[in-house]
Amino acid sequence: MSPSDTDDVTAVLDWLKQFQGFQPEGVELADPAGAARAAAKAGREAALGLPFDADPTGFTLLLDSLARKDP
Amino acid sequence: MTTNAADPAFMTLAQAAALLATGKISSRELTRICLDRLKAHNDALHVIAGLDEDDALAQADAADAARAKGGDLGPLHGVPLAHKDMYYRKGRGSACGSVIRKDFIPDHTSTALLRLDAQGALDIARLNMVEFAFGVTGHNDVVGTPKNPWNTAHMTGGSSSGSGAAVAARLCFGALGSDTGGSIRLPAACCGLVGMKPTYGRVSRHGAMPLAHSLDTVGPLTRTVRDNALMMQAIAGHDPNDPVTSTMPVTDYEAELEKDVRGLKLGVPENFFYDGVAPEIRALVEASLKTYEDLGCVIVPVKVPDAVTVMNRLTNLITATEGASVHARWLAEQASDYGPQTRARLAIGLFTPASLYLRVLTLRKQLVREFCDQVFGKIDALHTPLMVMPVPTLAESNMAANPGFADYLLKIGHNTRPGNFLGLPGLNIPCGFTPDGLPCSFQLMGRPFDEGLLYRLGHAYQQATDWHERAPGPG
Repeated sequence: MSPSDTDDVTAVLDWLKQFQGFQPEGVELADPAGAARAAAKAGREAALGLPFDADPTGFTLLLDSLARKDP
Repeated sequence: MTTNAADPAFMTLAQAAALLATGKISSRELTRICLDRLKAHNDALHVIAGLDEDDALAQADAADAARAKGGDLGPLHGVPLAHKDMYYRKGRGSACGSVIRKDFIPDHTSTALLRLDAQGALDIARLNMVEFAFGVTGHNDVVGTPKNPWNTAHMTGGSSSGSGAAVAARLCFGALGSDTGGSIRLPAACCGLVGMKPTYGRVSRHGAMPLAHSLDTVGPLTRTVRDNALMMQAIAGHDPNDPVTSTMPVTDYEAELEKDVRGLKLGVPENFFYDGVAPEIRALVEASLKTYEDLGCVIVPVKVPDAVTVMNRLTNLITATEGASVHARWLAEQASDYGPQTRARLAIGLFTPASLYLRVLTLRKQLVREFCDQVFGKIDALHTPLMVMPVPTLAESNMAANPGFADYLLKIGHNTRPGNFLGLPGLNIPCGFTPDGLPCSFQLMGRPFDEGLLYRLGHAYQQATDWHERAPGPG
């Protein structure tokens, strides 16, 4: 495996670890709408730390960081 | 080839803007010339997707009235432009090269058009394009294929096919294209124009038809680097309506043009970018390197990361997958309204495993870091051929008649798609003509947000050569 492949495997394992025990707070069967809101909020917060950053905004920030520093 | 200096249509965008400012020609006169040329050449070139002469002349009259009043006018004031038919303008149709969207009337105007409006540019026509911008040859099975003004038997390149043909044929002074896998740079190369694919996130895509949101970029096709810089200056910058746009300050591109290029390090790739290059292309591209040496640039051989070899295919995977998500409903309900090639290429994306798609996006971040460290740690810009082959004929590049079309598409986009995958800026510069009379170009690739440096290098080359002054004839 190349270093990139190894990084990917690590990322997959981290991702599984994060989500296998995923249990958002405030999820109540008696209040489905509230539960959905809470689950969505918890999901968004969890996603911030995901190794699989599919959000293009994150990619733009990476490009920002790689821009020339001595214009 | 002609250089018809007497005809105002043959001026550059910058020259037209300067002449308008002197009052020696009015915007109405210039617009009338462009409208007449659009109509006169459309049978041969098939570039018009939509033309409202009354509206175009009304814009011109308003520009002339504003100039008569005086005050602060934008640098593009009164200059007739026309754009790829995928930039929405409220209340005006935008068919995106398709039958499916033939009746679509947007309820908002794209940020790119609003920003050009703010600088006084006129938007006089909608230009034909590849169906839903998904194709690099320029063929369009559903609304017809624009023709290359240098030789109408040859492809324009795509997907900004009408933009390339119209600007090269002097039917307007500049045009917006979009670039997801080469769709600005390829038509620019095939039609002998300057085309800038900016850094991902440099120009807002709000109000532009999406193809693949992780790759889509907006940029201009023009006859000179200066013209390109003028248009880019108008459209670049953060837009809250497109959350992927960067908040990095926009460079003063015109100021960059006047800076010295002596001592800049120009990288020549030792691997990948010259794979399969035709001898006549190699000769012209290497001659452009000699020009840069004469200008005082330092030519540095550089090895690019081996991972570049997979970026072409990975860009296709992202495009098909994200494109399929945009088109899922139409693929299910109106499949027969697509051209066969577009339908087939989009449908492939419905079957991409989510895990593979996400893995590719993850790899992208690793690879752009690696590429910037390994390549731009040593050089200021990378110099490559834009296409590795001479401009093919329409028949040669007709995918419907070519059973090996997937490989052929990969070959056409060989040197453009890595830039999309990595999100890096790429500037196409014409550098001569192959023996069949079709244009040839090189590409300058830079660090993220280094459009200004690429413009500086491109402008220096055009100051030392006259390829950009040639026009397809007869006028």
